[in-house]
Amino acid sequence: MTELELVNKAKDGDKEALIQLVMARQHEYYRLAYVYLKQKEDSLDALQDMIIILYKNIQSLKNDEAFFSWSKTILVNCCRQTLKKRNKMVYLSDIEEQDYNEDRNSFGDG
Amino acid sequence: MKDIEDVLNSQKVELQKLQAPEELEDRLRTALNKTTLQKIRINKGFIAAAIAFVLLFSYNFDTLAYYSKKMMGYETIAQGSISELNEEGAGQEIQRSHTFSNGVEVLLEGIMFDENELVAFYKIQSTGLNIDEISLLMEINGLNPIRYSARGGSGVHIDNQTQFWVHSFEAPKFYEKWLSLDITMLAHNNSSEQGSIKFTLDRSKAMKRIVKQDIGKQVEIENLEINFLTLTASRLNTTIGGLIEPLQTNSQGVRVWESKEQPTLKFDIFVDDAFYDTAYVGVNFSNKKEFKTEVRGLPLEFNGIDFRNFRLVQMKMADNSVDISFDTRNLVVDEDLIITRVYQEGDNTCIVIKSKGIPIMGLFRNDKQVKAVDESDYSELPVSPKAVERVYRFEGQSPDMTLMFKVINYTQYADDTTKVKVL
Repeated sequence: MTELELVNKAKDGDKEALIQLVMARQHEYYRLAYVYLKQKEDSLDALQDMIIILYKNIQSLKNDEAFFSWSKTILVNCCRQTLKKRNKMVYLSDIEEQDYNEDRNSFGDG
Repeated sequence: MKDIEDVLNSQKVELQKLQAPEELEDRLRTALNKTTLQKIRINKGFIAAAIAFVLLFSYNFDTLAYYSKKMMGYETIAQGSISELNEEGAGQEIQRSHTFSNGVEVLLEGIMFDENELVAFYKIQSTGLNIDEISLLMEINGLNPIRYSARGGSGVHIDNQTQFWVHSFEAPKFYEKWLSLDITMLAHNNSSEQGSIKFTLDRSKAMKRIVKQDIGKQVEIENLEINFLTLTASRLNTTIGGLIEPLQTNSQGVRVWESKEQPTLKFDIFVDDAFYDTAYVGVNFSNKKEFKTEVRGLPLEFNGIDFRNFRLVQMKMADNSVDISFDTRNLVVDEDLIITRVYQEGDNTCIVIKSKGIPIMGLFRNDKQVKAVDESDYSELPVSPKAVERVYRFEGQSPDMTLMFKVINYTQYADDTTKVKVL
């Protein structure tokens, strides 16, 4: 099943499709959470928080192709929330700024 | 600001070894199994009351913006229509601040907003600390569970204690009224602190919608079909929505150069037959893709809008640096980049480069970049079927110089007559 088909199924409330989508890039997600949180347990907690938010909000995702960038943005938010609770500093970055700027000027583009 | 990419790169080797633990799938399943989607019980009375509330007290995009005072200090960073609106004193004045424990104060002076964008004008001041030693991350939060992300901005550094910023965010949903600008301050000593500036959206000061138009027209360029669907504009922002669809797969002959960067569709917006702005859309050749692109807001009065000069720009990375002198001859930098000769012309240095595409480069003498005599001379030229020689002129002369290349741009144009009439 393709990613887009899985996204469609997940939008219909299919929990297994959503799990498959996340598991397809499990290492990517986990590394992103780990960069922020530096701990296995907190990273797993953030991923759990993320999948609940994805499940509750996936119907609002307009562009199915943007699932992974959208879900990573949510994961970063979950990590931030965890950091707030821990009041511990790691380097954060405003990565969404890059996502939302993709249709604007690019370097060297005349 | 230390970018996440830097963090990832600096820890690349360790991170590549990092694997998600085996229990991840069970943890995800457990979390989901405890979650159910709440069915919303529709209370017709509540809906009627909510609609009445929205109509009476909430956003009316067609209301003219009330005028406040011009925000001072932002003249050099506010661009295009934002600059014009600020000159007129349009927008909503806020004048609220948050001061962090290290004395850094963020003053939200005002906002401008329409249905596509919210622009924040804020000033950062410090009583002693050098502001360059901190980074501030901004987001706007309201009722919507997904926050309103920052989309980009520009700032001006007045001195070590003062900066002015104009920052664009996603537009708040129509139901939002009470918002907060949430700030995370990151300091170089590895400490972080959160701050928040709460403000109430005054919808009577929203920028008036000038146009909301279905377009429904197509343009073809390099085996891509560009479907223009909608145009929405206020004086603050013009948003064009559409769909890009590949007409053939790559294997069927679409010309795509080796490229690490996303190809970009560019087209010019003409208002009353005069050039107004250029729009940029990221494209790919493999999938159908919806797009939304934004340009400066429209004037209040005009007779017609159309899109022209459709071109597709693809970039090939050419990250390379070569030492050159007036003796340099036929130096191969890339398979599509040969420096055929370097010579003097009056006070200028001339570099002859043979290529099909247009290289983006900088000339350096003693680590200082040299000004190009005419930077935009070739930048929009179409790609040539065969490599051609072009002369690039730089100010001044020196026996030893370094030429740094970043990318080679390949621009393909649609037919000259292609035009999309919107209004």
